[in-house]
Amino acid sequence: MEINLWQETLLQAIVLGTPLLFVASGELLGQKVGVFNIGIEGVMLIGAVAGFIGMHESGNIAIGVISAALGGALFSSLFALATVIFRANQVVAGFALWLLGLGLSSQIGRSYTAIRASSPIEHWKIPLLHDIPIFGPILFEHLWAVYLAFLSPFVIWFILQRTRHGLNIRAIGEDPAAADTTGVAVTTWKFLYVSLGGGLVGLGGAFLSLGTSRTFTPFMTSGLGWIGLAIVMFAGWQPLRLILGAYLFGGLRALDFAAQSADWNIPSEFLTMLPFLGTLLVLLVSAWRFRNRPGASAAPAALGIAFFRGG
Amino acid sequence: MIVEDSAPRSAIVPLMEIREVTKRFGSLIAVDRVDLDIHPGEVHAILGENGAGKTTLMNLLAGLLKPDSGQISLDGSEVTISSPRKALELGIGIVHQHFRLVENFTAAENLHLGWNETPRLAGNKDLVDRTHSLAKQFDLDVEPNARIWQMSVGEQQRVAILRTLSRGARILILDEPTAVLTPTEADRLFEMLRGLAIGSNRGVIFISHKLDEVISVSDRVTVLRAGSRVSTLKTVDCNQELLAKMMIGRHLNTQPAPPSAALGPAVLVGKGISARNDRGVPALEDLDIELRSGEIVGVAGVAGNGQRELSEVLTGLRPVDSGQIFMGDQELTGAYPVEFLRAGIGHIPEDRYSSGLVTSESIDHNAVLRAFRDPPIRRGLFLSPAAIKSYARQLVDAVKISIRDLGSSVRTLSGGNAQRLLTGREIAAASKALVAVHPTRGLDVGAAEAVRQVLLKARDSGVGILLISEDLAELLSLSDRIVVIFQGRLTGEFNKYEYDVNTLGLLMGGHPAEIG
Ligand SMILES: Nc1ncnc2c1ncn2[C@@H]1O[C@H](COP(=O)(O)OP(=O)(O)OP(=O)(O)O)[C@@H](O)[C@H]1O
Ligand SMILES: [Mg+2]
Repeated sequence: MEINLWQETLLQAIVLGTPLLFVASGELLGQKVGVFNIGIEGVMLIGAVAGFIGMHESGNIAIGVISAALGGALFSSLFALATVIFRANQVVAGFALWLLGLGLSSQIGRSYTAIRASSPIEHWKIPLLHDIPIFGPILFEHLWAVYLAFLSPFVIWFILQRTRHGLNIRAIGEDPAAADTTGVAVTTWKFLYVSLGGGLVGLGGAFLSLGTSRTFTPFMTSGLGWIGLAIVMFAGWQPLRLILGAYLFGGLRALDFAAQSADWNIPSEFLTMLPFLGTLLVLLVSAWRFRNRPGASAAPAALGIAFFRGG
Repeated sequence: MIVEDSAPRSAIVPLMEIREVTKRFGSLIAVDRVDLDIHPGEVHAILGENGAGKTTLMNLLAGLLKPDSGQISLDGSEVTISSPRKALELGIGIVHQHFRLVENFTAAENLHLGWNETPRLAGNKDLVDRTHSLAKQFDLDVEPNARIWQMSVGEQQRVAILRTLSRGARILILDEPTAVLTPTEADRLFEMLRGLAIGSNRGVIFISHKLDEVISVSDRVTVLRAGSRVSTLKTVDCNQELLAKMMIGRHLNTQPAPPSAALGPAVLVGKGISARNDRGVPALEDLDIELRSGEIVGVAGVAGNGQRELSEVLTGLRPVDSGQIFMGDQELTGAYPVEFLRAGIGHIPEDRYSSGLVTSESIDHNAVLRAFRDPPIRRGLFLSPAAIKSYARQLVDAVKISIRDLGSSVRTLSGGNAQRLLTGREIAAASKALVAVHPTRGLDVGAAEAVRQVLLKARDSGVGILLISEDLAELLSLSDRIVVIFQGRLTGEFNKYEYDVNTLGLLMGGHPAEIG
């Protein structure tokens, strides 16, 4: 089916938004238990390289994707070890994680850089739906990981808002001492959620190396991890709003490409800047909503603070 | 004569037996070979000075700390309380000095947090429904959808108690439950506690500094001193003097303080002040107040009538909507808090942990929070560690806290010792005026008396003190003048020896009393 430039731009919005959605979902999981990981760019790269190696060595895409998730999770568990168990400063440790991820992924991926993915993530046409005129090709002919990314905020939302476990998890990010008093295993869950979030971030990396670029290049994430952080704030820490944020950020990048190919007169920097402006606006609006409660915000109240029992 | 309580042990099987339990923090023995029995159906009071080890002992029972030695048995069999979760499973529930509720959560969410009877799949509606029926079952007035930060302290406490009871606590521990309550709320709590204990197989452990409360609500009382148990007595065999003596080893001074000797010029003055509270609701309305050098002005009132806002306005922490604030001739309206400090105004805030002290910082750093801007602590661009240490040491000695390591964090101090540190620091900063909110809250009888003496000394040296307290006895004894605050306005004023308690009570309750 023929698609025009607008359709193509919308399609690309979803494609470009997908790694962001993975990364932001993963970051949100960690932040909901009070851990702010600024190093997810590094985790993404580890996911990209681990996924690629897994796929290449086994010839099996499932193993590739699983390796990416495991790689991201294990690498983040290093961060969890430092910040949750040894209570290191989260910003400092996150910075270290970022640099370590950059170096480590380039190093172990060195001999895989010039290879095309032999069994990449495939396109799935959703039966019937993809025949819908105009929208069908935009929404229902994607790499299967796109659908997975789309579902993850719903799963996270359901767990956090509709289950007993989710209530306990939210409490850890709001007030770990209170959660601890009622018998929630604060340290264990913090550790697991930071690692689990790392797994999702790893998938975000693999989406690039196995899905869109289908090759591994050092530093291939080019700042997407940082945008993921911004999306979490943009979404006001609400899982379902991550979808809006990710596709919006993705959409503006797609618009940027479209503008260049169609020779529109919009400076690329302006489009790149817009989502961050949006994030600032959202933070301002949210600060305004909380103006009568000094110190309160939409973020989990204990975000960034190490937990000491009895403190 | 002190008769050790010897209940017929064969008749009652204690719910809980504690034997020779010991807890050390480094070289300090916080709990020293303590024995304690809790019987079914009793309210058991634990009494002790600040730092006597009451909270530590309860934390051992609640699984927040592990004992170094000793045994704890429930229903006759020995147990290890390895975690808070284990404690709850065993039926031991604690309502902390600070309730440990999640501020941003609703009552319903707090109630169901960390509870294995919460349905695995439960949306907000389910939680709210369950909360309604639990509140009914235990006859507690709790609004499921209200968020904790929106509630009064008494409401928060009810949520915490309901949470503990819902989980099947057979031993309900309350750590200084009345320290934060208004007198009416406290009476309501006592009624509730008696109702919960009598004729049930539950036991209630109740920690307090207030001797009259202990006498009126408990069946037996255990006195701790410096980590050791002094005695356990039947409450009917006790009176306040006896308990006070056991607790501190001396009699307490209940005499009213001598009146102000030299009344000076006006220092801190507020004219026509209106301000809003944290929720944006008007809390002070066109209020006038004048504090003169060398007097203590007591502010009487039921909690939540604008006391906190008044103290914050007068120390620069809260903006005014209208009105003016003066220190002598200097106008301070709209000035930064540090200018209030520079003008010689000290502040003992209501909540020592969230606004008075930085709990994660060391004791010496907390001690110099008011003084670090000036020499000798500030040397040019730098702070002198030696000067910090010696300033802190002096302060700590002056308020009589024994601390070996000034570098350890404030969270290691007992509640009372933290309050002493704060009081000492603010009195040192208050060269002209001091706004003191509940300065003796959470202090034992001896420490409270010490703080009162310090306040009187400051007054006699010419400081004007605004004393905001819910403890009427304290206000009556210390104040040279008492004003009554009701719904953000001053509704009455009395000079020393001219007030009568009934009129005060009526005004505090909002009744326009005949003042004659
Ligand atoms: N985590 C800790 N580390 C070191 N010392 C501690 C710790 N917790 C308490 N202490 C010390 O143990 C002693 C007992 O403290 P505890 O809090 O049990 O006293 P308390 O009887 O509850 O006093 P208060 O009436 O002031 O609340 C105090 O000297 C206190 O400084
Ligand atoms: Mg205590």
